[in-house]
Amino acid sequence: MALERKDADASTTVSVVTVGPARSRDALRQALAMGCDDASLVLAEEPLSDLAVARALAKVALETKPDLVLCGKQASDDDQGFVGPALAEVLGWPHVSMLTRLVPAEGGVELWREVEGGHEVWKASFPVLGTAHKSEKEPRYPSLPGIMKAKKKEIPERPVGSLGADLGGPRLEIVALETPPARGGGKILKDGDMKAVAEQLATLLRDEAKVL
Amino acid sequence: MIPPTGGFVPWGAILLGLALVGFGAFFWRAWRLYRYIRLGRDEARIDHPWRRLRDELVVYLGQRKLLKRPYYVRGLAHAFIFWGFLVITVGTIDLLLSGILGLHVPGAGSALFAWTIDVFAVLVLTSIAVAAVRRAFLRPPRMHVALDGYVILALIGILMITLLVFEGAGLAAGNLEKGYTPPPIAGAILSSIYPYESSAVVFIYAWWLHVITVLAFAAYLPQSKHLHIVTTLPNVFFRKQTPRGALDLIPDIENKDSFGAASLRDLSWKQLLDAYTCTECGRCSDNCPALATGKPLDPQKIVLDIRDQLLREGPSLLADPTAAGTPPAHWVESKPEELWACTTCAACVEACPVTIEHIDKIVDMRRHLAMMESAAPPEAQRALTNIERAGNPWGEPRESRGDWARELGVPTFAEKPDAEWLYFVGCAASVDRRNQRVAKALVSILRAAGVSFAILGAEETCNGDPARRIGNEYLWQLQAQQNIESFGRYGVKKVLASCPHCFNTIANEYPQLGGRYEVEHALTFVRRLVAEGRVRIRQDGEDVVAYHDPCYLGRHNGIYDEPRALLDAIPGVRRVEIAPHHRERGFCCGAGGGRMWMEEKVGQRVNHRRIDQLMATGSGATKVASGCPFCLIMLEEGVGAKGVQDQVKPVDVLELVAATLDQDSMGST
Repeated sequence: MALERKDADASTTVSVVTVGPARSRDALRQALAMGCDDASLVLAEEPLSDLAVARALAKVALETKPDLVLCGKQASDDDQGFVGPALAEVLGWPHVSMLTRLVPAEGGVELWREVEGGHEVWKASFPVLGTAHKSEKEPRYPSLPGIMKAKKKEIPERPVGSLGADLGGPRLEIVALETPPARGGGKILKDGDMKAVAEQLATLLRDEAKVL
Repeated sequence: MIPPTGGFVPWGAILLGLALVGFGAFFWRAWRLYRYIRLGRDEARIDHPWRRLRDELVVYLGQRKLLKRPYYVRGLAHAFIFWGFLVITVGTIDLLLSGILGLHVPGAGSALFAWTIDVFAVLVLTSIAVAAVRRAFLRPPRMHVALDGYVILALIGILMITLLVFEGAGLAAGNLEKGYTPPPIAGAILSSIYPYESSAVVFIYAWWLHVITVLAFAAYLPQSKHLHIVTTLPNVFFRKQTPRGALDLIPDIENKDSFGAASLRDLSWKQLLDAYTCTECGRCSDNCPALATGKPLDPQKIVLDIRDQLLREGPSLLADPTAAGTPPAHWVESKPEELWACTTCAACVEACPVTIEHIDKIVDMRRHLAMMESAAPPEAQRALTNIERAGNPWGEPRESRGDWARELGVPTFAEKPDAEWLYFVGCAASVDRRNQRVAKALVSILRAAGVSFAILGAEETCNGDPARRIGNEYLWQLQAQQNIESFGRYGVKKVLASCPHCFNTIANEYPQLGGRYEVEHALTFVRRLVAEGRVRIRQDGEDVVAYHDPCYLGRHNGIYDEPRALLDAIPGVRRVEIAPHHRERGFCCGAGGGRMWMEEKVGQRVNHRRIDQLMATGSGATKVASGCPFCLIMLEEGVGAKGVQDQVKPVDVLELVAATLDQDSMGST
C-alpha cells in the first residue's frame, strides 16, 4: 500500500521499522528489496507485551515524524490486532483499521475499509495511522536488482531499552491451549430408494441428533 | 566444355563485370548482416570441435534433421535439391572460371562429372516441381508461404532448365569436350531435338541465361530466406554442444545489474545467427504443443520476429553504439503471454532442420521479465516465493519433506552416511500424495535389489528447475548451491532421481556450479536392475500399457528405449505407443517450463489434448505409464476431465514394476 503511493508519487519516502529479534532483519531486507527507502530494527530478543511494542514504536514515530503510519491489521501468531490501534492511542493520532485502499485527498488522505456489501471511506488529515487488511494487489515480488541493492543497504539497529519507552504494562499469559474435540465420522445412508433414505434421515435427525 | 566466351575477349570481360556485380552485391549485403550479428553479446561456441565437424557431416551434408518422421518425402526432395546444389556449384565455378579465364576445375571435364551433374539436374528439377506443387496446392497449415519461396523455386528451376538445355545443345553442336561416352542421359535426349544449325545458337543463349541467373541468385540470396544455404553451415557448426537440457549459466550473478534479454544486444551472436538461418519451414510450429492447443506462442514467429527486428534496427544500432534498442518484438508488440506459454518441451528444437535453439531465446527473455521487471504471472510468482520460503513450489513446510519416508523407515544420509546412492526424491514425490506412491514404489524396488541408498529428508530442497525455466536464474542458483552443499556434506557421489526434471538439472546443470555426480534416472536404473536379474518380476494380470515420453527424459536427454525395455520386461504387459506422438515426437503433458504452476486459460489444455491423442490411437490401453511426476499429475487430471478414468489409468512405470515384484527376491543381494 505504501509502495503504491511511492509508485504514484516518487517524492514519497517509505521507511520500515519493526520491533523484534535479530531474525526480523530478513523481513526488513525483503521490504527494502521491494522498494522501501530505508529500514531500521529495534532489537528485542525477548517477547514484549503488545503495549510495550506500541510505546517503543511511538518513540520511533516521534523521531521520524511520518505523515502516515501503516501497520498490519493483526499479528499472525496471537491475532491480537492490538499494536496498531495502541500505537495511535499512545501518539494521540486518529486511526482507521482494516484498510484496503489509500487515496490521496486534499490536505490528507482517504482511507477505505471493507464492510459487508461495500466500502466505508474515511478522510483524515495527517498525521494518521492505519492498519492494512489486504491491498487490491498482491505484494510485489522484488526484482533481482532490488534484492541485490537491498543486500548492500545498512539496516541500523538499536536495543529496545535505549528508546526510553516504558516497557512495563499488562501482559497476556496463555493459561492453556486445547485442540477442539475430534469429530466422529459421518453416516452415509445408501440402502433403499430415495424415499426410504429420506425416511431414515428424518428418523435419525429426530431421534439421534434431536434437531427436528 | 568450350564456353561461348572462349577466346572472345569482350565477352569474357563482360562476364567478369557481371560476376563482380553479382558477387559484389552478395558480399556487400553479407557483410552488413555479419555486422548486425556482431551486435549480439559474446558467447563461446568452440568447445568439442570434433563433434562440431561430425555434425557438419551428418546434419549439413547428410541432411539428417530433414529426413525425419513425418517429413520423409519433402525431406528427400530437399536433400536432392541440396546435394544437387553442392555438385552443380562445382560445375558453376568451372563455368565461371572457364568463361572468364579459360581455366577449368580439375576433373570437371570428365564424363563422370558430366553424368553426375546431369542426373542431379533432373533430380533437382523434379524436387522443385514437388516443392512448387506442395506450396501451391498442398500447403501445410503452418507454412509461411510468401513470394520469396516462389522466387527461389523459379530461380532454381530456370537454372536447371538452362543447364540441361545448354548441355543438350552443346552436345548437339559439338561444343562439349570429347570423352563424354556414353553421353549424359538427359543431355543426350535433349541434344536430339536440336538440329545442328540451331544448336550452337541455343547453346549460347542457354549458357548466358544460366550464368546470369546464377549471378542474380547470388545477389538475391542474402535478401531472402534462402540465405540459409549459407548460414546453416556456421549455424550447425556453432550449435550447442552442451546437453540440450542445460540452460546457460549467468555467471557472477550477484555482481551484475542487468539480466536476460531486453534488447537485441542482450541476445548472443549465435541467437541472431539462428534468426538468419530460419527457412520458414514451420516444422517447429507444427510440433509445438502450445500452438497446437491455441496458445499465442508460435516458435517460428519468435525466431522470425528477432530476424525482422534485427534487419529493422540493425542500421541504427550500428550507427549508435550506445543505443540499447527496443525489447525483442514479440514481448512488446504481442504481449509476453507468448513467452509464458512455452513448456520448454523442445519439440521445436528437435524438429528444426537447421539446429535453431528456440528455448534459450525464450528463457533469456523470460529472465528479463522475471528478474528485472518481476513480471512473471502471479501464480508462477507464488511458486517462486514458495521455493524461496519452503524449498518446494507447493509451499508445504520444509520440515515435512521427508515425512512420507518415515513410516517406511527409509534412512536419511544423516542416519546412514555410508549409503552408496542418494535418492533425490524431488518436491513432487515428497509432498504430492499421488507421487509419494511412486517414491514408495521405487523404495520397494531398491530394497528388493539390495541397493544401498539414503535420502536427504528435510535437508533436500527443490532442485531449482521450475525457477530456472520461469526465468529466475538467481533462485535456481541459490537452490542448486544449497543442494550441492548438502551433497558435499555427505560426500554424495551417486544420485538417483525419479523425476526427470531433478535428473536433468542435477546431471546437466549442476556441473555449471561445480556439482559433478554420477546421476541416473530411476527408469534406466531399475531397467538395469531387472536386466541384471537383481530384481525379479512375476506376472500379475494382463495390461495394455501406453508409454508417454516425458520431455526431459526423451527429447532433452535421449532416453527413449530404456523405459520401453523396462515395460517390455514386465510379464503380462503389452506395450503400445501413442502414435504418431511418441519418442522424439512425443507430445508434452503441459507442465514443463514452470507451466505446472501457471494457469492455462487460453485454448485447450495441453494435457487434455494428450489424452485425446491417447484415446485416438484406439489401442485399448488400460494404463498410460510415464516416468515423471508432473506428467503423472497432468495425465491424472486429463483422464478425469475427459471422463475416461475408468478406461485408462495413469501410472508411473515404477509402480508397475513394484506391483509385480517377486517378493522372494526381497533382499536377495
